[in-house]
Amino acid sequence: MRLTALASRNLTRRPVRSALTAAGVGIAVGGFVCLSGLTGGVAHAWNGGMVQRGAHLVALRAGSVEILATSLPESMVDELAREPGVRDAAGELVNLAILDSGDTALVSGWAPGSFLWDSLPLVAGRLPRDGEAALAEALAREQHLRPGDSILLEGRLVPVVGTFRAPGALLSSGIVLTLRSMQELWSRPDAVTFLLARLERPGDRAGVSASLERLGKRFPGLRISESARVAEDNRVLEILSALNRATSGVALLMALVVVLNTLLMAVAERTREIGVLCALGWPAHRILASITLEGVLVSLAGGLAGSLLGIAGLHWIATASALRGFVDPAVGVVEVVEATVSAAALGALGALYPAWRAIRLDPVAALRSE
Amino acid sequence: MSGPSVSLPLAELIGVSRRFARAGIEALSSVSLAVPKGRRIAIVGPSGSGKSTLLYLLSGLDRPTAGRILFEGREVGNRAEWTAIRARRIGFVFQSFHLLPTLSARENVELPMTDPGLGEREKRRRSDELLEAVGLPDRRNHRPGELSGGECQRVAIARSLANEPDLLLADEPTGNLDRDSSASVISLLDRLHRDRGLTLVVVTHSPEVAAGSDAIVHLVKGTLLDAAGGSGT
Ligand SMILES: Nc1ncnc2c1ncn2[C@@H]1O[C@H](COP(=O)(O)OP(=O)(O)OP(=O)(O)O)[C@@H](O)[C@H]1O
Ligand SMILES: [Mg+2]
Repeated sequence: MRLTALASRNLTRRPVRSALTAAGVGIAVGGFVCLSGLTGGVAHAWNGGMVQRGAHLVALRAGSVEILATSLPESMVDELAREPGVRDAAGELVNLAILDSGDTALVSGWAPGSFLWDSLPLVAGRLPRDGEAALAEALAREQHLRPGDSILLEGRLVPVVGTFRAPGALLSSGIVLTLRSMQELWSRPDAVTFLLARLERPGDRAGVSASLERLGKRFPGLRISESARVAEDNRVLEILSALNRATSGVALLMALVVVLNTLLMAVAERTREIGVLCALGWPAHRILASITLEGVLVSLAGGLAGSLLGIAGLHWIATASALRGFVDPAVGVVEVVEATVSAAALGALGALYPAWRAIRLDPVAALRSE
Repeated sequence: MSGPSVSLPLAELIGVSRRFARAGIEALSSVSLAVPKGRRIAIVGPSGSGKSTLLYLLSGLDRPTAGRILFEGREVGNRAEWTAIRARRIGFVFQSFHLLPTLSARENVELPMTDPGLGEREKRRRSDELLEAVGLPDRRNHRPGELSGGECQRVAIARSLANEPDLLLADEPTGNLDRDSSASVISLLDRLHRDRGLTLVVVTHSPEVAAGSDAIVHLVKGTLLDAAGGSGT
């Protein structure tokens, strides 16, 4: 009989208690996976969104914390486009709109003729002109809108002239207007939220780095990054992720206490058995290992179940909740394995003190105990 | 005498005392006792006279407050060394069997087989053999809850033999058994002593158990009344 068999037999001896302990670990691990997947998913959605727009570089106002609230002068689009190595540039004004239904949609304004429109495969109707809107197919379906209908934006009815298939999470609940209409509707004349640039030779890594450095010097007021990394060092995401770490940390700490408590009880219950094992010549390290293994097994089970549930929750958030479109879940096997291994480590940690108590027992007193 | 020729004692207590300071009780006072190889010794005495304490000291589970304890003529250094000796050289049988309730008879017998060089198949072969030897070949997959007291004690005896010990310590092995079960346990111990040359120290209240011994040691209030038969040196 192996040590793992003994440990799992001891766990199944108290099935409800073990299941509850596993559930405690599972909830903590699931919460951790879900929350960290959420932050990662938001970053992923933005990075993906910029790449899908066909941009190689994205420029934001330097020092901006909340991207949507800042703006750059539209004139910078031409300045950027004139830089060597830059094939063309575009500006985008973005805002969140609350629709009639109460849902939130990301509204983008693009200048007619900019390369951004190339990323938008139309499903029905045509691309919008000034004063018109195109809607993501999913959003249109949800809001029961078709080309020919109108949508209420900032208190004004805007005719819907087309629907498109969103090329990624960010545009999946998106509305696209012309830049001019967008600036008018939100009263932000001549403003764009960020600049997007396509490079002459995007495949040349060294060249891209050199361009980044040169543009950085040329436009000190901008924070320019590669489109696939635009969400990096974003303050809002950093704050979110710090909050998540803190919340998850508290949850994991509680799970640790749950494991510790369960195993302390188990050791107390099995005091006499531990004395018997001593009498049979079990070395301390073996007793230690068997109890630690119990902690590891119960947490492993909880961790695996929890991380799968966490991922399920994350996908639900990304597809069915109000956050749809802003989250592009990027968790996979690696994250599940990571979370499960961490859970096992948590189990071992929680088992340490009970196991230490077990090997410190006086074997004779343990044998005499009832 | 049925045992092999007498040489160095397998285990020996020299002037051993065990005092429980907090309770102000001296469970054993200056006890000297040699357990020669191959002998069978019975320890008898009233309740509270220190019989269990003596067995715990002999196996290194407990440490004396005075005196010396030798195993094969050598003083054992520390707890870990005693653990190793218990694992390979000493078997233990208890009055209330102390089988692990969640494990089958076979798994209980395999419990002491902790030698990492021992494969699962070899453990299985050995435990089958031992359960056969104690007359329970067909109960190997039963848990203690499904066995009678006598059967449990025979499983416990099989477990105590798992690593082919030289010394078997039994603390009232028939204390919880009815007459028939006692008889079968007694004859099993007899046979092990005779066939395997096992050195046996048995604490007992039962005249039947004491009867076949080479020596009977009387403990009263922590002191030996008569160790004459026991000290074969
Ligand atoms: N941890 C302890 N603290 C205080 N006194 C103890 C302790 N352990 C044993 N004793 C005492 O030591 C004495 C001897 O105990 P022991 O169990 O060895 O007796 P015994 O001969 O085996 O008795 P029984 O036949 O009832 O099993 C008893 O008086 C007991 O109360
Ligand atoms: Mg006793």
